[in-house]
Amino acid sequence: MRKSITFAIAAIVALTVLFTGCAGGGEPVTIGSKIDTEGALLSQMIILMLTDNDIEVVDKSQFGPTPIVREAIISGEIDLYPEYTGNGAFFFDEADSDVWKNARQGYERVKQLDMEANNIVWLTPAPANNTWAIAIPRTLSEQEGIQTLDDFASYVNGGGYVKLIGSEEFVNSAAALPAFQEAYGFTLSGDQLLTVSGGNTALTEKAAAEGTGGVNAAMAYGTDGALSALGLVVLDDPRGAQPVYEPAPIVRAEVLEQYPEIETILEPVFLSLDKETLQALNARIAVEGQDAGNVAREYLTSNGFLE
Amino acid sequence: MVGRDSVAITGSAIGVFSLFLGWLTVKSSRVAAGESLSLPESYGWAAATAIIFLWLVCLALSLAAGGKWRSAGLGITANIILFLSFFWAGLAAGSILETEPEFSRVSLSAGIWVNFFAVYVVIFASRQGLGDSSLWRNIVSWAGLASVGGLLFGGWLHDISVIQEFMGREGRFQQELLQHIFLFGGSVALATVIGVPLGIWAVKNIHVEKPIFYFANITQTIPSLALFGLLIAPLSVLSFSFPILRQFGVRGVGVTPAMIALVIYSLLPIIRNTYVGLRQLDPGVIDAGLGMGMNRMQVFRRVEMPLAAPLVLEGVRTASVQAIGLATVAALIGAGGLGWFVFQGLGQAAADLIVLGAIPIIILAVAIDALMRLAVRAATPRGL
Repeated sequence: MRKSITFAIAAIVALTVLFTGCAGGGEPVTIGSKIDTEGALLSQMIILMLTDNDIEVVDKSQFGPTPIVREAIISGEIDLYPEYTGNGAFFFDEADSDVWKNARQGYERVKQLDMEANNIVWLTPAPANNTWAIAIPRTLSEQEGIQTLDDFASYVNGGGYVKLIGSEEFVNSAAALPAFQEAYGFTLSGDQLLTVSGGNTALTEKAAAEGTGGVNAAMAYGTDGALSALGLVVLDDPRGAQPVYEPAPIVRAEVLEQYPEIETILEPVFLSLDKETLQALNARIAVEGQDAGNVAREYLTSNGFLE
Repeated sequence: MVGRDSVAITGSAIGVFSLFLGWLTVKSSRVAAGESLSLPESYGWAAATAIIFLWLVCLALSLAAGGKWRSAGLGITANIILFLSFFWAGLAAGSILETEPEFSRVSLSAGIWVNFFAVYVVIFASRQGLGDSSLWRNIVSWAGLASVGGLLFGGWLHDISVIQEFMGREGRFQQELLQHIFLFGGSVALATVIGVPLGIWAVKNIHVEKPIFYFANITQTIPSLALFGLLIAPLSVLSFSFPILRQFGVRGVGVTPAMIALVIYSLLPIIRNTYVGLRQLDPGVIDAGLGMGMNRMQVFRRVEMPLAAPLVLEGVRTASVQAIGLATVAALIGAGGLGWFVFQGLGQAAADLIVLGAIPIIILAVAIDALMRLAVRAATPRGL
């Protein structure tokens, strides 16, 4: 009796190991993304491209906020997701370094650090900078001739009315508003700022567009889709005060070894996504309410990446 | 009698109040600020007059004296209002969208939701007045809702923004709905398997009573997001120290931490009700069992547990409804569920996407609550 129980247990353990551990060969690739519009768009593009090249995928897109997705790829819950180069500054606690303000150097730095620390490979990024920015209503921009942050600084210093809405982090973290103020030589006082919790740019942009509470400037991200629909313009940052945030697919090295072709499949797609293209595609999801999968498929098809 | 009437009067008054609110909101895109339309602006004067008239009928009926017929009249009128408010909403949304630019949206506004609430206050009052006639009670409770369901599934409401959010996300919606059910169902089932024995143990052994309740009470006070977050670090350390665990899906993010957190929250109502259910038994019943020649185990299985069962199930009911709500937060740690729509909607400032996640959560909670109440009733021995 006891013998047969031991045997049964051994058999179960053996079978489990066989089915879970040594599945080998064609394991599917699990694709994740952050819980935002651009994450939805980019992950759908990745899924469509890999599927088209006969790589089996599992869709875990819009998995959670940045720390959760990060934890997920490190622990192997997901294999691949789009991340922003500038975030390396925070993942590896190097926010003071200047390399993040240069697209090429920032990418090389995070690529090296993430490989050493987590065995994660950064593939080719899109040439689109989704960094922190300041957006103002188009009407204000046209009336006062404000196109760049230099114009904005002279408007503020000349006593023009401004009330900027931003998250706690945007207002206080050295890399954000303080960096803008230092680079362009202006200072916003307490009553020229409206600080909200959470980094939700949909909320800040809406407030600036509608003038809620006298707000006429908003924290924004460069490739946000809702900007033009809300009648807002992003102010240019000619002095490069901000770290560069270019989205790149990042993948666990083990998985890339199994499917080395992923690199060449995704490279041309990401290279084709510049800032204006991403803004327009994001807008179709966020503003028009179209499905991210459909938007991705249409873009890939009309640009010849898919049949 | 007086109490009953005041419910109906309150309901009708809320209904009349809803007529002054905005009923539909027209937005130039799903994220733009909307323009609120009053009832006549939304549905046109003819339809608006009909709804106003029906609410005045309700108000008059709730002020009038009378028995069953008055209650039936109230219930039927309220159901008609419910049906018409959604019927015309679908019609109006279609005709508004024809004249508005592309990508415009028509959302349901405060008026229609307050109206919905008022209808159910009146229906509640009407049910109380209908006495034992279960056929009539069921008709009054469900007819309006069923007809709105018919409009929904018949595609009549497809021009309303929430439904437009649903379309194109059908697959994901089904997936996240099932995931939500899996999350709360699995965690409550696990909590029952753990909690009932703990409750029994607490009754039988005075030394463990305090620590068990101390643990169960303390965990209830931790905010849900914090508990989900707190589990991430230890679980991921665990899964890295013992890679075999990762093969079984034990990881710092995803379903594992969500399940653990939900089980912890579900324990207190189940332990507490098991404990109270067994403690409140009349010692005479147990003596009677022993006197009939049963041993301790038989008394426990045949006398104590059946008598305590309704209260235990009551605890499972409380835990289920609570877990359905809490499972929403699980979307933030990669476990999915209906919260996925809520948080995505928050991220895009698209209110209708939030509603798309929130409404099924409410329906799920109400449905499970009703089901569990039936189970409690079925488990209650006759004569109690």
